[in-house]
Amino acid sequence: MEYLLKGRWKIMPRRAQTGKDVFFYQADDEHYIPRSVLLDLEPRVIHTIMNSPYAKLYNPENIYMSKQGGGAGNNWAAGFSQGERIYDEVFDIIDREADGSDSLEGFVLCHSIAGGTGSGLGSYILERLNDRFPKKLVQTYSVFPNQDEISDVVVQPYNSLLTLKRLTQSADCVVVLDNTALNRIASDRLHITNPTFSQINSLVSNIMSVSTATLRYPSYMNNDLIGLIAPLIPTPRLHFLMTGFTPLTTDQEVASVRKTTVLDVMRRLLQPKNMMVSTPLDRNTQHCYISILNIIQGEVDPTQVHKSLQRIRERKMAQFIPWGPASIQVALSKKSPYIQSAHRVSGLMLANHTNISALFERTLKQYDKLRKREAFLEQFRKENMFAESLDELDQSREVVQLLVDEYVAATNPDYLSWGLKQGPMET
Amino acid sequence: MSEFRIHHQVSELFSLLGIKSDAAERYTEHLSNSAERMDNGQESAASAVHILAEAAPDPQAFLTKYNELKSRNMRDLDRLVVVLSGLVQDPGIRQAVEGRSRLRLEEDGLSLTTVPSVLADIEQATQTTLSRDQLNELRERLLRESQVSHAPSEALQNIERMNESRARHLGPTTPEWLDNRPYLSLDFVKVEQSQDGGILGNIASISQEHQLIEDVLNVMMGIEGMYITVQLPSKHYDPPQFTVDTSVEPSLRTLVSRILPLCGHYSQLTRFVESRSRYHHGLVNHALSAAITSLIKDYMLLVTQLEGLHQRWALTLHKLYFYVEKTMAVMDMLASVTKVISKSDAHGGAVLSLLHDRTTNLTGCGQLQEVMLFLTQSAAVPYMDMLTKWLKRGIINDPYHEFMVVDRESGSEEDEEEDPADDYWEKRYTTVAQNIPSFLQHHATVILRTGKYLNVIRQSDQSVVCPDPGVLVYGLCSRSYGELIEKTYNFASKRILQLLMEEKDLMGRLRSIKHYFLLDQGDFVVQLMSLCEEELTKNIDDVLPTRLESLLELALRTSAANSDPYKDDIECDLQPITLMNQMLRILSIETEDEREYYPQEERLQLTGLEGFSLGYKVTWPLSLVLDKKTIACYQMIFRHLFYCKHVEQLLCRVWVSNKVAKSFPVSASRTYTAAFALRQRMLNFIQNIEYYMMFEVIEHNWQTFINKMQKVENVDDVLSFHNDFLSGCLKDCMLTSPELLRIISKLTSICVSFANFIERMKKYYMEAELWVSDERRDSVDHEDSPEPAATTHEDSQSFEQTISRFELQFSGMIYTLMERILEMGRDSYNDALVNVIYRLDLNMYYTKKHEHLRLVASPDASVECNSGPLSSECEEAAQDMPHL
Repeated sequence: MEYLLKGRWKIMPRRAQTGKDVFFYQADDEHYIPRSVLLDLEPRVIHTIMNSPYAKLYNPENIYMSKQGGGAGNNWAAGFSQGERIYDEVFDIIDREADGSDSLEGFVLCHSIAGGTGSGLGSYILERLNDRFPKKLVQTYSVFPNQDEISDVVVQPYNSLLTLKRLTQSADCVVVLDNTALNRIASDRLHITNPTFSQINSLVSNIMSVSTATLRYPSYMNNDLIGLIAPLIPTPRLHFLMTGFTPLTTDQEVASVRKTTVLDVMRRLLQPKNMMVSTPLDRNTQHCYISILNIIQGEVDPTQVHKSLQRIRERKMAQFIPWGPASIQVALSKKSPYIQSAHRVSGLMLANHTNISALFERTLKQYDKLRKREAFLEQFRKENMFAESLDELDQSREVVQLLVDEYVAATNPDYLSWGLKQGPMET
Repeated sequence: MSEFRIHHQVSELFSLLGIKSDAAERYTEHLSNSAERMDNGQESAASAVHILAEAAPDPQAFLTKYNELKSRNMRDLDRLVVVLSGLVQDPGIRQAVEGRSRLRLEEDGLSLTTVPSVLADIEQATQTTLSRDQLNELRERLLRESQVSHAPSEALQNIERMNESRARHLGPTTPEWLDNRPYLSLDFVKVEQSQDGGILGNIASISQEHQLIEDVLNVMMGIEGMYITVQLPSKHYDPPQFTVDTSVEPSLRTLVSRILPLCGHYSQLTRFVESRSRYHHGLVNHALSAAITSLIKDYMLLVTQLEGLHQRWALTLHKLYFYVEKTMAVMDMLASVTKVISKSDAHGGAVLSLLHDRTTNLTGCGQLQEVMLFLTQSAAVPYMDMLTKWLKRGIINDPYHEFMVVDRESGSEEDEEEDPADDYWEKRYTTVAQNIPSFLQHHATVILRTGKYLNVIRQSDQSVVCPDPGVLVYGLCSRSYGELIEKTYNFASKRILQLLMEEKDLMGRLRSIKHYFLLDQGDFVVQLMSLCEEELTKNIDDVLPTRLESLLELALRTSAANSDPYKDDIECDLQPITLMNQMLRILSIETEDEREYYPQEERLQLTGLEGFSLGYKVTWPLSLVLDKKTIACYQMIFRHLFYCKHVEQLLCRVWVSNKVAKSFPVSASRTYTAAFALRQRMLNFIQNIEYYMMFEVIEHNWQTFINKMQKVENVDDVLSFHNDFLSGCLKDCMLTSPELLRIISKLTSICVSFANFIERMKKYYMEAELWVSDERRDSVDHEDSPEPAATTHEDSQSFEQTISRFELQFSGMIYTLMERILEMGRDSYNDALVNVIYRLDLNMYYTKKHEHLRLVASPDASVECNSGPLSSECEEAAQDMPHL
């Protein structure tokens, strides 16, 4: 069983602030302490962290491990119901951090969707956060399971589906980290035969750090979370974002000799092989971009950006939605002065693409297979939520199906009137 | 001269004339062309005179006038002639001006009331630099005048009189005894004398010759002889008339009359010395007079020697003529020089140019040139002294207005340091063209700058003195003084650059200004906006500036700006006028009434947000670069960007309040999709506009500016680079085009009212949808909404209608904007602006939709957009929109 960031919880209240102040606060002794909260229902992962060089980085009061220490047993329902039990303790921590922030703008949540703790407890916390802070933003970095390998979590489809419902209804922005694609990139593009956690994690942390670069190094635009995600998400439900990154290298690989221009970066970002989401090509529907944000770091001449946009438009390198104006937003950001990079220019793409629905469809298919056989449902029935009926599962399926439908509808010019025709039929 | 200034002058001229200003561009172009042509100089002057003479009603009178002016060595005469001929030849300008001026003339009853002002203008034109903008004014006056009968001679007399009266005020008053005692110099003082020598013709020719020599010697010294009588001339610079007794033997008389011009020259010189020694003629004239006096002394010596010979009976008229012949040439030259000087009433630099020109013309004439050189050198001494002082310390000691540089506000030296005038650099020190000696013409700008720099340096650091520049001496070859001037200039420019860039850290300042005014420091702006929002949404009259100041302070401390050393110079500034009206007011000239009317009307509805701006405290000498005008430009850009940011924030807030729709049932949430899509469009628009302005305009211009600044060598370049940077930003941010600005501000106001509407509706749709959904699906997990909204259906109806109205308005304006940008891009080949379109419409959405709209411009379509005046706008846009 492989969870990328299994059970490692990071909840970071953030202020609309500069550089280090965005995710950190200054302790009395001038150390910077991250405002992050680490949660797990079992001690293993957090212990690894506490034994690593980063142990002193975190505020020990912000680390919560369940007292039973048994974990959720890869069961969504178990994680969810344990969440109810530890609610007070966890939200004490979160409230304390939220109160300590000058201008809290939102939360960032990192979790996986397939296991027990990440999906179950994560779903629970997501819902509660949304209730408690209805005006704050909740962004999640959600790890989707690897489809290329046979998972030893047999109830993975159930877990995924139930989590997806919460992500649809309670999160404001979900950055999809697809383990399938990450592993594929590691092996195909970086030529690592058996990618380790830390190699994959470095990919992920790269994405996370670049996607927050404009917040941390303030420049002209995109200096707050809302300004970053609002233009990406036109309608509230379609908030699942793909990421792409270029150039892809790890420290093992020597930087290539070629000269990187802005156009190169922007063009490569549009290539599927650089995307961190594995989606099969659907030939029936003309999938398209709803919106794109490119965060480009390095020495960039602003006029180059314009030329690249012009080229992309001329060559029709990207398909866009037909029902509204869509554009490639380009945010130019500084590079961290502390990290040496061999690349002159690097870029991250955050894209809202209708093709992401394929990922959900896959989950639905797997769920349907299991559900038909009524397989592995006993563990779920043990918990209160499913004791009486499995309605929750059916409802979740409905929500996810609607999400898929909406994504497909968004490829049509008449998307704006799509739901309206359906509306009366339902009632 | 910059294109801009020409443009400004032309439009001003047009407004004076009452001509519609759309033709201004054309005339600007024409003028700058002709300005170039004019620089080509002399050869066209002759043909221009010819043309003018042909066009004039009285060619003869014109030519006489021209020659008279020419003989007086008027500056810029040729240029004026060329411009005038251009005017005469250009039918377009003529027509335009004639049409208007006829009207005016009729009003004036064809009276000659305008004559004095025209005279004043001519005077200005001939006396001071005839800059091109003055020409503009001149031309219209002249043309108007050309229809009334012209009275040139009268005009010129007038000018002379004015000159004299003006000049008299300079220096101490001349003591009266100078006028009362005419014997101080020997210049044919008329005394009632009854000399009776009888008729000379009756005696022997030897005796006649002796007597005549006596008389000639007398006349040479300025004493009237017995047989040679003197008539003083009517004009003081003309030589007197001599009459030799008619009875004298003709051969003798001819000889005498050959010698007599020398006497005339002597008289002229004496009179010149006498008159030019008065205070108001200035130091150069004094020095020249002194030099001439020393020459006259030599001349007197000659006369004395001749007299000695005569006493010993060793002088005949022939011998006399032989002795004075050489002197005569020198005296002739001197007399002609002084005559020109007196005639044109030149002083200061003008005298020097005249002398210099003469000297160079005499190359090869040996002794004559030496004498001229002596004169020029002596006359240049006081001028060179002034120049040295100016180059060394930046001080002007010029009581008689002779120096080439003028301090426009001398006397207020003390106030200067506290509040240096805004346009100090431009206006305080200027050159006076007529006072630039022709041999310094090439160095004029360098000299002006050197002194200016030194002045600035002196004001911040008293101790600075330029290393000894040596003694500036006039010489025929420019090398003697040229090198020295260069040396001092290099010193001064290096010093002041060092002062600005290193000691005052100009670039650091500019960078800090960029952080705040150009929103480079994004987090500061976000912080400021969230802190000040409450205060700023009030009416501008209710905003408390002190509160704003403290909030600003807080924003500065809590953002990354905290590390900026210059953050304390930022201050708040509330301006009681919207940006658009401010720009319009700057760009267009309004009548007085409007000007008074505007602010009051506006103040009523202006919120703090619209009037909010930052200020910046600038200290001397940085205010040279960052004067009030420059800061105002920064403020305009800031207000524009700030308001865009505000709109963006409003739309983002709508996004946040909309996010609750995730948990609405599908059918219900779909009702709002139109609103979501519209919000997205607005957000897309505003962000792209911001992005364009910030990265493509400001950042791009900034990079160019920085690159230029790395190679900058003197402060004038710093100023001009900085101005280029700012004007580039203003222009490409669409602030200089009232039309685009109006469209954009309309678009933003639509966005604002949309955001406000959604915010208002929030309560209703939350109640409505959540109640409905609760009823239908109990499991949906959120707080109860207590009251069912009774009028859900109607509300949603009107909601949809409102949204579609907003949508129509917004699309209409977007089309207009894109269309206008395209047009402007075509007209002016302005690439930058067209980029906006690429950004706004990357996926061709608007283009396609607009085409579609145009195709279905059928009745159905017009019924759909029945939203009042807007539908017509929509249609218009639909018809005008070209293919993208």
